[in-house]
Parts: sequence; structure tokens; C-alpha cells
Amino acid sequence: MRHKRKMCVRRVLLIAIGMLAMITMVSGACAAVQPGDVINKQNVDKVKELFPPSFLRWITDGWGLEGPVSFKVVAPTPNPPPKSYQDATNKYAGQVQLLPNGQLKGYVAGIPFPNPQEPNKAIKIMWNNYYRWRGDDFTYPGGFMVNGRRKGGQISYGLADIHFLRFTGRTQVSPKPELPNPHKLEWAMTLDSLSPPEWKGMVTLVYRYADPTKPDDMWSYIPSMRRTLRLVSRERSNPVRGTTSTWDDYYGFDGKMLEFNYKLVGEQQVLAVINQSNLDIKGNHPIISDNYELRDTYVIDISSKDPRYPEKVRRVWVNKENFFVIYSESWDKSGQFWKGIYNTFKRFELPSGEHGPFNVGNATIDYKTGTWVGNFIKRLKLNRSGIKPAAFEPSNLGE
Amino acid sequence: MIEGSVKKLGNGKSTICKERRGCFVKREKTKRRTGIVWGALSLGLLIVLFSFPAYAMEVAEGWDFTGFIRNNTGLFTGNQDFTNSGNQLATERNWLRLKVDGQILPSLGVRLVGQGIFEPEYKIEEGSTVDFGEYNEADLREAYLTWKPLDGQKMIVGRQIVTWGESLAFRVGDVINPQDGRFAFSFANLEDTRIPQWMVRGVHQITSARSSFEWIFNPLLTEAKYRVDPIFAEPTSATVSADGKTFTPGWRFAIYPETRLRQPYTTTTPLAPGQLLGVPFARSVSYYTPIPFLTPADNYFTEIPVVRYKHPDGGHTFKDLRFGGRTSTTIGGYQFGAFYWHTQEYTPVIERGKTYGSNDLGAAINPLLAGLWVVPNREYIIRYPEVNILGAYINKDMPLGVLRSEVTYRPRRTYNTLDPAEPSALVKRDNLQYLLAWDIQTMFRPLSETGTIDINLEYYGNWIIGNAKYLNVAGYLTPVRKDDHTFLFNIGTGFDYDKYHVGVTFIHNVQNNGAVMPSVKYVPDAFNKACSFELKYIGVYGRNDFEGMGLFRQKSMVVLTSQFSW
Repeated sequence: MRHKRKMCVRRVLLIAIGMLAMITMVSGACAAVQPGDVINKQNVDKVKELFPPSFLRWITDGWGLEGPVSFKVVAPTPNPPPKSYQDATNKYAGQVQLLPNGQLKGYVAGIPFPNPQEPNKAIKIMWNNYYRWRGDDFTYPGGFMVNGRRKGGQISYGLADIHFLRFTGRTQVSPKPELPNPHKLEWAMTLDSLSPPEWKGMVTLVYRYADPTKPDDMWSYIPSMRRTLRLVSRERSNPVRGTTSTWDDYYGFDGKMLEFNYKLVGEQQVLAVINQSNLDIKGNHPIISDNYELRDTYVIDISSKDPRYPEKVRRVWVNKENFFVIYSESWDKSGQFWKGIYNTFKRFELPSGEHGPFNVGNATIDYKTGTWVGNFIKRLKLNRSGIKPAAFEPSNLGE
Repeated sequence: MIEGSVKKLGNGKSTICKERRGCFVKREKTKRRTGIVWGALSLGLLIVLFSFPAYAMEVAEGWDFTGFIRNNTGLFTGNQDFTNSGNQLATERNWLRLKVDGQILPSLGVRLVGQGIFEPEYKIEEGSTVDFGEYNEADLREAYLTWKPLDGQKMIVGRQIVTWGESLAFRVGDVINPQDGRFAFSFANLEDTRIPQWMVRGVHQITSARSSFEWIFNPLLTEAKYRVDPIFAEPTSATVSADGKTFTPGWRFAIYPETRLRQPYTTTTPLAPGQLLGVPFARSVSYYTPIPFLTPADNYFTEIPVVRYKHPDGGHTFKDLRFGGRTSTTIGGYQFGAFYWHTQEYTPVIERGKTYGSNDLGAAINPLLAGLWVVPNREYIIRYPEVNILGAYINKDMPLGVLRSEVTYRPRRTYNTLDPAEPSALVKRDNLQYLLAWDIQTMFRPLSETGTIDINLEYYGNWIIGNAKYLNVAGYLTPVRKDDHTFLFNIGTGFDYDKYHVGVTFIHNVQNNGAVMPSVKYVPDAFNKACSFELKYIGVYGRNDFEGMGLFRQKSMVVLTSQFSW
């Protein structure tokens, strides 16, 4: 009874905080931009505090890589995780503890720290990002477009498919919260290239273990060799398939939690594509000129504990509403600005009737070489992919 | 197949029947026609493909159309004294491969792969009575149905290629498909050398046990044209004369049969009367015996060889079947398994058979000599003995890279021997082959910030258990080593996000032979990165012409491989 009351109070508090956040957002928006504003190189100064520094040059001159972008500002639209995920957060968050070594104790599902506070606020926020909602399973049936261009070169077009299955922390699709899990995985994923020809047929399988201290395991089926090869999975800062993206770059930051240090730099309101209106894009430009809306973010600096890691620091902007990384900027060991990652999102309806946010666009630009890659999702099956654990066995790759 | 084709014998050489010359001319015309057809097809295809971005090649929902056009142009860099023509063209191989993947039903898929290969006649082959047009083919390479009745359960029926094993460069556990000797040289990848087989194959995932089981049944319907080792299928007896020398042309990227005619492996080698020389070059030397007290060059026949070629011919007996299975388990980051494969040796041995009948050679020379020089026929059988292969493999991603290992054990494998105590010239020995490999993938940013450094190290050992004295490579006098060790070191990196790739591969055998293969590859942005150009030098070294890579040591070359894929 007492517990129930406690939960009820917590829910009311959460709603109140959410409303307050929205009001703050809107009032902030009023201060800088208004819904309906069109931002372009003429009025870029108006938004200079609302983007990571590297993004602004995309508005002024496209970094000399592509044409400058312009976009419309719209009123903020909510894009929180689905209700069932929030219910799981409410159910389990109270039992989660952050251990001195940075690991979590008692995590089952949902966001581990819905209201992150000091001490160690930065790592708590990043754990929230790590366990952000992204569905119990998803696939992009032939709808994951990977385009890119090096400075002065021609655009290359690629298509891929991704199959993702969450084994633990499941909140919508039965069995919940965990699938039969002999490998003790948190999730497994396959990346299946459909084009360009040089990558076609290559399938990479990734195992992310539930134990955060265990390194991932990876295999790749190489059609030209007709073999499944074991990959070196610890080198997560290596380029993936000749693109500017590394394994740690996906989603803005996808590093192994315990291999990095985190520092909260501050909070910032940013403009971002939170509900992308159109997925049917050509992908000839890394930056999507869609509707931008204001969001409150935490700004966190991430640095690797490994002295060999090529980045000096990575700065991420984490959406307070759902803990997705919206933007990321990184500097190399010498302190030279290196990469910018800009994500876009869309709200999808789930088979359960709930709605949830999904990362549908990602531009990763290597500013040192002037090379960009854009990952754009054109088709998505969320929580209804029908994919089974057997598809994630290394011996199942290939023909 | 070869029986009856050896018509004339003399001075250690045999010749192919003259009737084949007619066939050769006819095949030449066919070859030219084939070339024109393939050329036109390729050009047409290029025009069509260039007008589409590569990602649009899904012609209909669930159906996918892919393939490539490839050209290998190579020039010998060494002195090709067997041509003496100054023409250094080593290869001008043109490939067209078309692949269709389709989904007939949600649980039923189909794959069809057609392949056409065309090569012109080379200088080395001019004047040969042997048909070297066998490189050219238009073939349905793969044709199979994949049925997936349940998740994690699949069955594949049809002509297919199956690759087992851990090695990137050596065929230790890669034992399913025989190797096509025509395409085995270093610019061809292993995939291109595999001969597809008609098979039924099942793969069953047992997820609760973190394991899978795969089984294969191969009823051996391989067509006769896929001879595993053409050296044995076509006597290299046609001779070419140039500058007063006589040469026997061989398959350009097979081993050098012509060098077998040189000392110390010619019939001019002094031998004790009656000594069994084995079944050496071109299968038929043991019937020569030097005449005592005369020069080593003087020999006389003691037998007339009759060579019989006994390929596994789909007799569907236990011996002629191929079948086996493999397990795969992944626990704690280790992937491991065991396998068994029953098959036949893909490189034949030569059995010295019985004598029968008689030939009055004296009468053939002069009626007055009738009855003075009578020799029997001796049967030599080119055989592919059955072999059972037991193997195991393991791999693990370690902090410093991926470790791979595999081992195969072949109990009572059949070898050729020169031991006169073995009248069949065959003995059985146990054979152990193993691989230890290490892969490193890392970044070395002073060199490249946009490409990984990929390093592969492989150690391949081949060990014959028991007495290995007198064992020789079938058909030749090259001794088989009791233990043999080969090392591979490969390093490469990409620049500008793999627009350029440079690498070098070293292969070294402890018998002091091997190869060095530096290469540079360029993938332009044009046509959606569908084109690639790779320039590779293949430098072969060896302490003699008769062992390991030394067999190819005059075949160092530079090869440009150009490919357009879609």
C-alpha cells in the first residue's frame, strides 16, 4: 500500500517535471526562435546558441562539402519513450544502484536513473542513454540507406538491412523482461549490406553481452570468400566498412560504458529534428532540411580510458526527454576538431498502439578529410520484425 | 579416358595421337566464336548497368540480380625460356558471372549463378596438339534451393559451394569442394578455384545449446569435365621446338611438367638395371632401363605402359560417395566445433598395376629381330583413393586480436612411393595437418587515419606420421616431406576510406620456397564504387624447380585485375 502510494507520488512528480520541461522549452524557444521561422545563412546568428558549433557552418556554406542548408522551426512536439517502457522505469528504477566501479546493480529494464542527480550525474545520464528505449526488436527491411561522399568525389549509395533483437530489458514484446538467453546477451544485431557491390552480401553479427565488462563479439560473413570470419571487436574506433563511422560512433555514441570517463559540462537548449516529417529522401546531403524543434539537453564530455584511443574528447548532447544523443562532436588526440555526428528522430506507432521515438537519420562527417556518410532509415519494422534468436548464431550467417 | 591415347614411344617422350589436331583447329574456331559472344554480352551488360545506380538492381520484390565482369591481364616478369618468343603475356582471362537470388515462397529461396570465362590462345600453347581451350567455359556454376521450414533450420539442395575451415590461405579444413587446378594461381582467390558440387545440405541451429549441426551428402555427380588435376588428365606430351630446344608446354598456372624432362629427373639419369624409378614424369618412366656399360642416354624398354584414368565416376558405392557433418558451438566467446568428411583424394595417386600381354618390339624394328625384344604391357592406374577426414577448429577474439586454429587428421592416407618393395607404388600413412593463425586489426594513424591496418599471420603444418622415406608427389619424383611448414604474413591498409588499398603478402615454406605479393588497389567513386583495379606483383622463389612454390618460380608476373560489379 505504502509502495503504491510512493509510486503514485513519483508518477505525479514525473508528469510535473515533464510539463515543467516543456514550458521551459517553449519559453526558451520564444527567446531565440519562433515556430514558423525559416533559418538560413542570412539569419544564422539567431540560432548560434542552439546548435553544436560545427553545425552552424552547414547553414552558412555547407562546409564547402555540400550546399548550405535551411530549415523551418516548428513548435516542440513530445517524443518520450512508450508508456510500457516508462512503466518499467517506474517499476525498476528504484532498485538500481551505481557501483563505485561504474557498473550498475539491480538493473532490469527501463531507464535506470529517470531523474539523474549528482554525484556521478554524467555517468548516470550516459547509462540512461545506454539503456534508452529503442524497441525490443527492429529491422529495416532493405530500408537502411548508407550514402557518402569524400570531398570532391561522387556520392556513393548503399543499402543495408539491420536486424536487432533485445534479449534483456524487454518491455513490450513477450517474453518480458528477458528472452531465453543462453549466450547471456543484452542484444544481438546483424548488419547486412545490400549495396554498393563491394559490400553486397556482407553480413556482420554483433553480440553485446549483458555483462558490461565483457567485450562484444563480432563475426562477418564475407561473400567473396564464402566464409564467416571472426572479427576483432575490441577496436571499436576503427572505421566500419570504409565509412566515416566507427562502431563507437553509431547513434552519436555507442561505446562500451566502462571504457570511458564522463563529465557533465552543462545543459543546453538545441534545435533538432525530433519528428522527421519525411523518410522518403534521396540522401544526397548529410544534413536533413526538415522541421527543427527545441529540446533541452545535457552536454557531456566523454574521454576514453585507453591512451591508444584516437579521440581526445567527444562531446555529446543528450536529449533530456528520452536520453537519445542528438549531436556529437569529437576532437583527435592533437586537439584538432575531427568529427561531427548529427542525428534525427521520428515518432513511430508500435503494434501495441503505443508510440516511441526512433533514431532515423545520422550524419557522420570527418572534417579532417571532408568525407561524410549519411545513414537514413527509409523503412522500419519496430517490435514486429518477427526475428528469432536463431538468426543470431554465427553459423547461421551466409548461404 | 587416356587408355589407348599413347600411340608412340621413344626416348622418354610420348606423343598424343595426331587425330586430335583436327579437334584442336575446330575448337579454335569455336573458341573465337565464344569470345565474340562473351564480348558482345559483356558490352551490352555494361551499357545497361551503367544507366542504373547499383542499389536499384533488385529487379522485383524478393529477386536480386548481381554479378561481375572481371579481367586479369598479366605479364611474366621472369625469363620464360619455354616460349622463347619474347611474348610475356601470362594471362588474359575474362570473366562474366551472373547471379540471381530469388524468393519463391517465404520459406523457399533459389540461387542461380552462371559463369563464363574466355581466354585467348597463348604463345606458350601455339603448336600444341593438346587442347588448351579448356579454360574457356560457359557454365551454370551454382543452382540450388534453400528451404527454411522453421527458424534456424534450413536445407539446401542443388549445385553449391560449401566452405569450412579457419584458414584464409590454406585448405586445411576447407575440404568439401575440390579445387580446380586451372584457376589455382596466386591472382585467383580460393573461391574461384572451388569446383561446385551437387549436394544436399542441412543446417540446424540448436539455440538452447548455443550450437548448430550441419550435414552434407554429396552423391558425386560432378561432370567428367571437371578434372581435378588436368596434368593427369592430359598427357603433356605435345612438344614445341624452338631454338634447338624441345619443350613441352604445360598448364600455365599448373606446375611445370616440362621441367621434369631436365636432369636429374630425365631418363638419362643412370639407374641400376631393374630399378624401379617409380611412376614419374607423365606417369611412364619405370619401363626404361639403361643398357649396362653404355652411356646413360641409352635405355631400352622393359615394359609398355598403359595408363588408365579412374576418376570417381558416380558409381554410388560407399567409396565414391562424399558425405559428412560439422558442429559449431559458441560459448564464452569461443567458437569451436568438430567435423568429419568422407571423400576421395582430389589429387590422384598412380598405382602400378599388373603386367599383361606382350609386345614384340624387335619385330617392329626389323622382322629379323622378331622374338628378341618382347616386353609386356604394364597397367598404371590414376586413382583417387578414398579418404576420411576428421577435424576440429576453434577461434576466439582475444585482447590482442583473433586467434584461429584448426586441425585435420586423415588416417591411412594413400601416398605414392619409390620404394621398390612396394610393387603397387602405393603406401598408407596417417596424415596430420594443422593451422595456427592470428589476426590483428588496428589503426596506425601516422600511416592512415581512414583505414585499418589488417595483419594476418598463418602457420600451416603438414605432418606424415610414420616412415616417410621414398614418398613422392604422385607422378613426379619430388619427395614428400615428413613434416612441412609454411608461413603466411599478410599486411595491408586503406587510405581515403578504402579508396586506395595497399598490401603485401609473404608466403614462405621451410624448404626455402615461397612468394612475395605486393599489391595496390584502387576503387574510384564512379559508378557507385562498382569498379576496382588491383595491380599485383607475384614474385615466386624456390631453391629448385621441383618443390613447393619452386614449381612456379619462372612464373613471376605482374597482374592487373579490373572488375566491374553490380
